[in-house]
Amino acid sequence: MEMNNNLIIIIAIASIAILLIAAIVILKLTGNREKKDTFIITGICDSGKTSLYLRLRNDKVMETHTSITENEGRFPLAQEDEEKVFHVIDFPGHYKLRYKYQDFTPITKGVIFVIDSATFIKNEREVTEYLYEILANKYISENEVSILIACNKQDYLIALPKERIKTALENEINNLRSTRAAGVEEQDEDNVDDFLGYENEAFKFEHLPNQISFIECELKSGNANSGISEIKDWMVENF
Amino acid sequence: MIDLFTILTKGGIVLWTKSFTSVTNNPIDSLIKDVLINERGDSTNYIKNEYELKWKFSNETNLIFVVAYQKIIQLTYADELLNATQKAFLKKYSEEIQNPLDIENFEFDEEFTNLLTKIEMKDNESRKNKVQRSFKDTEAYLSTREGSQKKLNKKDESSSEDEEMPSPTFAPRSPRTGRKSPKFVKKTKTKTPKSPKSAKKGRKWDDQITAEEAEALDFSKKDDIEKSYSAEHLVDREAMGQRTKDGMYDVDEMQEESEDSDEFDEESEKQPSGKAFNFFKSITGQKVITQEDLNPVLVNMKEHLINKNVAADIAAHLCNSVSKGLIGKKASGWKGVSNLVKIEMEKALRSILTPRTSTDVLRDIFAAKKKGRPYSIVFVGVNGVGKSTNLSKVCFWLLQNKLKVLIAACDTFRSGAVEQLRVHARNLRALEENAEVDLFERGYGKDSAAIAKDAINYASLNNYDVVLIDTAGRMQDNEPLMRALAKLVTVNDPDKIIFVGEALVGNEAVDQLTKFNQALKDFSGRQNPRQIDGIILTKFDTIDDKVGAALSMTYITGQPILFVGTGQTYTDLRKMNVKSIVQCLLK
Ligand SMILES: Nc1nc2c(ncn2[C@@H]2O[C@H](COP(=O)(O)OP(=O)(O)OP(=O)(O)O)[C@@H](O)[C@H]2O)c(=O)[nH]1
Ligand SMILES: Nc1nc2c(ncn2[C@@H]2O[C@H](COP(=O)(O)OP(=O)(O)O)[C@@H](O)[C@H]2O)c(=O)[nH]1
Ligand SMILES: [Mg+2]
Ligand SMILES: [Mg+2]
Repeated sequence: MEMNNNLIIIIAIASIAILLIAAIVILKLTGNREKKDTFIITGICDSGKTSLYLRLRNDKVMETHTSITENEGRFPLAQEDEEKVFHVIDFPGHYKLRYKYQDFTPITKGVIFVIDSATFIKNEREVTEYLYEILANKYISENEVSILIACNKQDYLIALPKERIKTALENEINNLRSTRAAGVEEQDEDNVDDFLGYENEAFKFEHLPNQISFIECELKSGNANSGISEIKDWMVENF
Repeated sequence: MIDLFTILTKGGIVLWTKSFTSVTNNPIDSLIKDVLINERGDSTNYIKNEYELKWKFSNETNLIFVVAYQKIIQLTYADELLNATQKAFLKKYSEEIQNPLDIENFEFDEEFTNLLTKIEMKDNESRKNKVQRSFKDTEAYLSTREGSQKKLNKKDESSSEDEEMPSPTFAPRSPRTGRKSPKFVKKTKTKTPKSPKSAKKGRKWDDQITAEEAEALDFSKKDDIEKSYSAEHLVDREAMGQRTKDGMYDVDEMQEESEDSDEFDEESEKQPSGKAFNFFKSITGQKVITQEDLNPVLVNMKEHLINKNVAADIAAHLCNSVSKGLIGKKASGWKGVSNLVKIEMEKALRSILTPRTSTDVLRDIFAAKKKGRPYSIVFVGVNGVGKSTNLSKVCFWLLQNKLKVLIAACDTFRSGAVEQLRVHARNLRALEENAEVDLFERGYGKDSAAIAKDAINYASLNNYDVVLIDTAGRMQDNEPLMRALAKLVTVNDPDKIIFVGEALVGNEAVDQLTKFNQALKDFSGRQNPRQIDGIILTKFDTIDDKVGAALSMTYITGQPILFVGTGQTYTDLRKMNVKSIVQCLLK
């Protein structure tokens, strides 16, 4: 009898302990997952993502080359409120490596999509395809993640102004969605088959539930109105 | 002597750089895009315009060291310089390098200049010696008494010199070097036996083809083709692509495999993992990975990939590049070495299989349509792989998207080929309401290049949107036929050249694709010859989980798999799902 009683008590204590641990683990996991505080920087190769990352992190202008891995960090924005710590990830823009961003869309708070305004006409289709992929992403659209489209390299004379880029993107997305709306692209759980915008109307960014803003910037220049402060303001707003 | 030395992170941030001349056209960006991202881990140098580049990874710190110099000078000390600089840099910044962005400035100029001077002086020294020696090496000298005495010593010297020669590398996709890899010897065909019934659950195409249907599609055998018939049974309406809200049809994607248990992990875990001490170190995160740690895991991994029907050379090469990426890294936490290998391999597989450009063929077709010209696609491949069958599947998909299609029967070689297409065209017309598809044929024995040309002209005159060009199957070693194919491509300059290959091939895939591409290059007579632009992998329904051919083919060509054929009805065409292929390969 004694033995039996002891055994029961031991088992009871053990099971309570296991339950507690399980509860803590579950809380931690889900807690982490639901905490959407990540800002992701995307865009095709050489648009200026890494340059932006460096400006945000310590306002440095450094030489960069094509990224092979992402740059990731938790830091307060350079010359901003020390209390607000941002989680920022700059993803490689190379076609073969860009899929990595998909792992982070469930915890994404905001997307900064960087465009090289000087070579935009040449790369119009590639840029639009990537942006389309992001807009159609399940988590980005379901969570109505805010998107900032940074029209970079405005220091070049041939750089297109943001209004021109916006209309060009809208036209191209209009074409793309007719060939793409369903699962021709990769059909992970991350991707949604939803049609972008309204069905019988030409595509407009305003038709999307996401808040989408356009700004112009020149990340390589020390120019006072290089646009970097607007990017930071946007991030603080969406923090 | 050198033009540029740069130390950068894998994230692309330059930590320190020194240039001796002004370097144009950013060869480092090209190096990263052309070589480093494409997993060509075995190449050791890269030539871009007037520069030659060499590089070294430091895995433990995620740094890349790159040196650039004029390609015309034979720089002998590049590797030595890379090694010495890496050592000095990591020594000086051993602490700080974990967070390189927190450092204001890496002051390394002085150390570097010292290193460089020392190595250059040493190099000059040995050059001088060589000049002297080469004088002494003359016949006249050897015939002297002193010379004959030295003969023996000399032998020793020269043999040690040989060892320093760069060994030939396996770089099948390197367009710059253009060297053909010596390892590409023709392998005997090792077809995996067709498994009688694939046991995969959840695939729609399983058990779906009845003998009747199979026969119905194999028209080359049938002679009662004139008989009236309904083609409805050839289409599994449920397996058809979805119509998007714009009224477009998309090809269904293959179903993703559910993640099963990790066979590979278990396998590698069974490996003797060395001494208990090593094991302890590895779980406390102190262990630095060495080649010895990796070898048993990699042997296993290679075996595993070959079992999945990956070409042997490619499996070996992949393992090699994975090991290069891991040596020096620390195995941290609970992740054992084998786990790290798996993660690294998964990354490598994923980036090989992920296309490097857009694969939206429909978008290209609409762009051409806007310009008012027909979009032409030519299907090439060896005999019996399914060129004609998959051409008609693609045609079915295009018809669903309301495009007007012309099929050009340019297989003027095999009897029955034209009739086979005629029947397909009729079927397709019967299946889709208002389907606009016609056959362009000129009978047998004629020059296929000319027929294709006529077909394209006919198509633009009659407002067809797409021309699908069927070609005769040919063995990659048949030179006259390969020449004819190159001519067809040169004369017509099609929008897409699609290689059709069987998912059953193993090592043979390497040979087929390299030779097709080689022939297109050698026999084109053009400065910028065309190459294969995309792949259709057929008979995917017959291979169970041995999906290695998908990897081999994308690896060799660097081109995407546009579709996979998963059966014999018109709806058995799918988009490849990269994720599920990767899972399948590692499972
Ligand atoms: N003139 C000018 N050059 C810029 C500007 N922003 C970035 N660049 C340059 O553009 C090049 C590419 O910038 P990165 O920041 O490395 O580009 P990325 O988007 O990280 O590119 P990947 O890593 O290849 O995807 C670098 O040489 C930068 O110096 C700008 O505003 N003006
Ligand atoms: N199981 C299966 N059989 C296929 C597939 N594609 C083609 N076939 C069969 O392969 C055989 C050869 O096809 P065909 O198109 O005539 O090959 P070609 O000589 O390359 O034009 C035919 O019997 C087809 O039915 C596929 O995806 N799955
Ligand atoms: Mg970058
Ligand atoms: Mg045929």
